[in-house]
Amino acid sequence: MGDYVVSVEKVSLKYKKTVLTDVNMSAAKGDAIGLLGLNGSGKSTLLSAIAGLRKPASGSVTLKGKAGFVTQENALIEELTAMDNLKMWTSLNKQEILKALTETELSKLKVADFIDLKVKRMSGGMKKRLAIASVLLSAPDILLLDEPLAALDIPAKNDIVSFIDSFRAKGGTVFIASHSEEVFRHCNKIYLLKNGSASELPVGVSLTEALNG
Amino acid sequence: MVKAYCKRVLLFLPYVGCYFLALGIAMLALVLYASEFLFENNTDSIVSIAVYVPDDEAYTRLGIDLVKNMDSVKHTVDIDQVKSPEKVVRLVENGEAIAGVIVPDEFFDNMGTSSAQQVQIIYRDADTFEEHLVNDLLYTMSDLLGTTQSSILTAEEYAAQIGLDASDANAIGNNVMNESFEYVMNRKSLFHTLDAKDIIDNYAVRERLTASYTLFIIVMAIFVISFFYKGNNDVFRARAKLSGFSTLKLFLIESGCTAFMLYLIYLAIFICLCFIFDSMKVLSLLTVLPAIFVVALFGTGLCYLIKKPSTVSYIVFGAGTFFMYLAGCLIPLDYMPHFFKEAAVYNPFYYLNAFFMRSMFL
Repeated sequence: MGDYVVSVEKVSLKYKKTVLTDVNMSAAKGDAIGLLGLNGSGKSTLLSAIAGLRKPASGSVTLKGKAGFVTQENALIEELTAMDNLKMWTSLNKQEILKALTETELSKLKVADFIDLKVKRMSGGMKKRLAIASVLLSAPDILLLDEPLAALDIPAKNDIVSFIDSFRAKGGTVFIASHSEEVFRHCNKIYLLKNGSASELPVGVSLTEALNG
Repeated sequence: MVKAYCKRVLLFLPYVGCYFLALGIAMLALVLYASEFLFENNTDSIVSIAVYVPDDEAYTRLGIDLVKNMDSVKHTVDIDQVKSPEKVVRLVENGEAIAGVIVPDEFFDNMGTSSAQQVQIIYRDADTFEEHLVNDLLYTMSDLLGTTQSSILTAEEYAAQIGLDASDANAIGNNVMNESFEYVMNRKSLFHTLDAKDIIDNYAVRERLTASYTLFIIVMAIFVISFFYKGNNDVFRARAKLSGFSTLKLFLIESGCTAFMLYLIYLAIFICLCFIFDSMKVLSLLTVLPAIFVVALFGTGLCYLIKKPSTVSYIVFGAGTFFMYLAGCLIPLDYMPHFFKEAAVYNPFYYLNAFFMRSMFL
């Protein structure tokens, strides 16, 4: 487990019923791990367990570094502006936040363009970008993304995928739970969650076939 | 996070203000006309007492006529003088009279002797405020008569023991009786008497309803504020947890913000009421705080238990109104059937209401 920043060992998870049994996986710095599976296969539950929000029924999850979790539904407060939402979770002041949003890899999310807009007036893409930026401001080493591209238009998808690449390039580790083949192109390891177990897919295999096979 | 919540509170204030204006004005109108609804136009509040006085009891009849003409009795008690003791019993049994009084033959003449017969008083369970008052009045009157009679007998007995003849002992007894009646008529010497209006005003229906309607407005505010809470949102709670805010901390921040908003509502109500009532207590701006915190914790707790804000609103509106009605917050318990009063002691809103009433006016 030497260089790994995330190690999942023999983890079993229950959510109403047992959804995953004896899951083993690991990720090193700069890895992008894709989690593929049908609805209800346990992708979000596994991400919650990695984030430390859910205790495994058995096994262990070890993290070397700080995790940031962007859930499917956002945790934004609708009546506040993007800036107020960002300030809520960080000790940075307005200038420092603006600097981070424009001068770091966060600039790829283009949140500064709508920084004074209230969340209730934002599109789905803006909300997703803001949610990711909100998590990234606390400088996590490991980023957990649950369906990051769901219901987004093409420019928003491109911005997020581009951000994932630059986050990895800086040594960050990403876990992505998704149905989208597009996002898996940016992952170096893909795990298929099926029938309660997780198995690593060989490089080049068709994801649709793996999922339906 | 606290800063962000403070900002949210400010953004929420227009909604809270609109809510207060809508419900507050409606409640104020109700309170202003409450005493007319509940007292002046309510003929059911007259209590009937059946009284039998033997034909030869002129003094007793005089006493009863005196009582009948007292202002407080005239508006609340209907004294029905009947022709026989049996009729008294029948009227009480039928529920046509709340109480019955049967005066025995030669009552007045024998009152100062050991052979005096007792006045019979027959009670039913009192339901309304007036019925309780009348029952208490009857008890007091019977106590007074009993005390007077005991005093006369003691005086005569003592006079006989020290060797006075029967006519002197009888004269002393008569003096005691006259003094006793004089006291009753003049209410002199031993007790400090207050103007009843001063005391009754403290419990007046307008004040009582104002306090309970204020509580109602504050509890129902959760209906509006439920959309403020984020702690009922699993995703938000998870996000907070990852940022170092435990669920308890989040709960306390949200409860504090809710209490602040509820307090602003109370402040607005207080200012409005100062123009109407002289009896508003400035100290209530402090003493009401515990009750506001209880309501805030209740509302926030409910929102944490139930995920959907709209469901919380329906529950607060439906169950809240129902339980507050049972606690006498909408209609005073004195105007409700007896079993409501017995059940109210198990209702937390009953105590919250009592606390509110005391904070605001007493």
